[in-house]
Amino acid sequence: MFLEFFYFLRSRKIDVSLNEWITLLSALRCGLHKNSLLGFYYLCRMILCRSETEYDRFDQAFTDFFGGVEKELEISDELLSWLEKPEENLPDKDLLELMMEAGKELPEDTVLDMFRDKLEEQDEQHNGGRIWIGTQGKSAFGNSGYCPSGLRVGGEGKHHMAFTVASERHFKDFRTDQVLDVRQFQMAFRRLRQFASLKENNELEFDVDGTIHHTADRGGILDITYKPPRKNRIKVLLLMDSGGSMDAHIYLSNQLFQAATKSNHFKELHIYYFHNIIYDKVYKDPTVNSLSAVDVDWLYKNYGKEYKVILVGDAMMSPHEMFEPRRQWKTNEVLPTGLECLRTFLSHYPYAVWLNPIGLSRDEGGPFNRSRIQTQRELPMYPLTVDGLTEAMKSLLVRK
Amino acid sequence: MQELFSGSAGYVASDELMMAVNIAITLEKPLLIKGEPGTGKTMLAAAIAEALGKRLIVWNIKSTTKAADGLYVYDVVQRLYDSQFGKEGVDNIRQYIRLGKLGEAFSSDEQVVLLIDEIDKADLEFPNDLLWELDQMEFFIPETNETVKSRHRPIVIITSNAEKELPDAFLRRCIFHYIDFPDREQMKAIIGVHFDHIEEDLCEVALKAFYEIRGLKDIEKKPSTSELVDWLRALIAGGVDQETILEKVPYAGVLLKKDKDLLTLKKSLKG
Repeated sequence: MFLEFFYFLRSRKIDVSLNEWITLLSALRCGLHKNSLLGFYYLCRMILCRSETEYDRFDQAFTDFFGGVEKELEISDELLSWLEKPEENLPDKDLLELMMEAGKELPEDTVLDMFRDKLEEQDEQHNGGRIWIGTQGKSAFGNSGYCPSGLRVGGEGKHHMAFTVASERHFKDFRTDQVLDVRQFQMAFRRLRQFASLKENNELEFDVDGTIHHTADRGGILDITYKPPRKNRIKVLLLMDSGGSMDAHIYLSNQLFQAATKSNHFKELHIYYFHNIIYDKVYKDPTVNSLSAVDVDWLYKNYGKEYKVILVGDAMMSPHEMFEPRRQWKTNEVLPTGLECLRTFLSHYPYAVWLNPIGLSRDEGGPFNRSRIQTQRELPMYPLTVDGLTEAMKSLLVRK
Repeated sequence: MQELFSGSAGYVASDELMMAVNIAITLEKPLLIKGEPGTGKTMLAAAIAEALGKRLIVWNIKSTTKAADGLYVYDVVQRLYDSQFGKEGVDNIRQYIRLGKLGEAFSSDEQVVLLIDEIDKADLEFPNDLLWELDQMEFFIPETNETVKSRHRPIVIITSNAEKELPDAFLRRCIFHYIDFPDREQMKAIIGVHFDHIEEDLCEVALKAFYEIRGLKDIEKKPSTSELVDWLRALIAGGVDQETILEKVPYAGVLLKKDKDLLTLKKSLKG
């Protein structure tokens, strides 16, 4: 009966597993939600969310599912006083049953209209009913009740309805699928630590502690043991698009640059710049001037296949930069297209990802999007967000 | 139904937090607490232990801590030494098994509160290594062929500073609660716990300044509760004129620990 919410959450990318769901159900059986919607909200959040980054998504999903309406309406003092205190506590019923029964989604207008009618008709106190304005019932009006799409009328601040709490979207800042800002820069930096536990090959090193342990264990007969090294072997090549359309994203790229350089988890980190696409040269300087140029061939020679390559850029360029063969103006020699250069580059570096600060819009029109879509076909592209970065790091661990 | 936690004299807990604790106790699941530094994550376990009258066992996690350390340590080197001197009881392996904090909590005669502090400090695999033990609240010692099983499932509180991502399988088994930074009302209550007497006005003004500083955009290390308490102490000891607190923020060094942040504050005060 309650599974709808389960699948709804899953459809909203809150990865609830059956285990957690069963935990939630048994918690409800124990009455831990205290028969209030707010309690139910907290209970769900505590059991189903695994990180504060999920709170915002959960809040939104909760509000959408149980759709709350709370509007200021003029309510007589008399009515408020009825609602002030439920006269007696009604016997505990299954909250969920009540909620599901009552929660046939009522459109806001209908609820408000009904409420106005009730306001005119009602002349006594109601508790536990399902029609009138009162407490603890299933009517769409009143407080301490179970109707999810109802109006709260009066009641104590402590029990301000779950929606109000949920709809405040207090945890918006913690979302990870937003484009990085200063706050989240730290998080991105930490994500890069994923590299740290990686074992590149099966070479073993002498294990002093293990040898002592095993030798002692055998009463002094030498027993040498080996263990996989825990040293970090990750080598990173960071290539950043600079200038032109990237100027708008300078701040963001800068954050990533800082994150990468500050993180001392890599065995090696080399940073180069390019403009729009890599032809035969990259540059040591973000100004991309010929003085700091380095041949791509030099990269191939000096940095082997084991390097993880992170390309950062919006991949937006005029189509001829990518698809037309270039000409050496002095000798009139035909040079490979940008796309061919990119493919050559990727053939040297099997571990490569592209991070895009403008995200991956579905917009396919326009000449500038053509190059982006083509790039996406060539190598995995992720938006330059915390989530995108994490995904990118994951895909860097395997050959594409 | 078990005893319920409802805060303690020295610890101000929000309703949600109390609820989280009680849910964890009832469901017998570990409670994972995250939150900004200085929101009282570590203090929580002590408060629970005090409120429920139970013994507190603290397992502080360091970057070198291994999961096995928490269960038991078999001191083979000591045994080797002893064997060379023909000491008595060398045959008895049990003598060389020392229980770790987790083992201690499991083998206790009464229910205890176990705090696993800053679990994210340890290796990435650390939480995964504890899955079975925390689920079943038991572990096996192959050397002595013994199983250490808890008679009373301990109340497990785990704190994390989100330095590392915890594995999903581990998170799935925990009740999760994020302690939000206390708002002004809660903060007043917290200050009330720390100070016997404090002038209402001073407290008001200081809190205003405090939240304004926290709200500054470029502050890297936001001041937390403990810094506020220290600052209040400094203000009282220095006998600072209340009028100047908002304008000049005296003893700002107590609140902000980074040069850059102090500069930011200075700029904002001028502007």
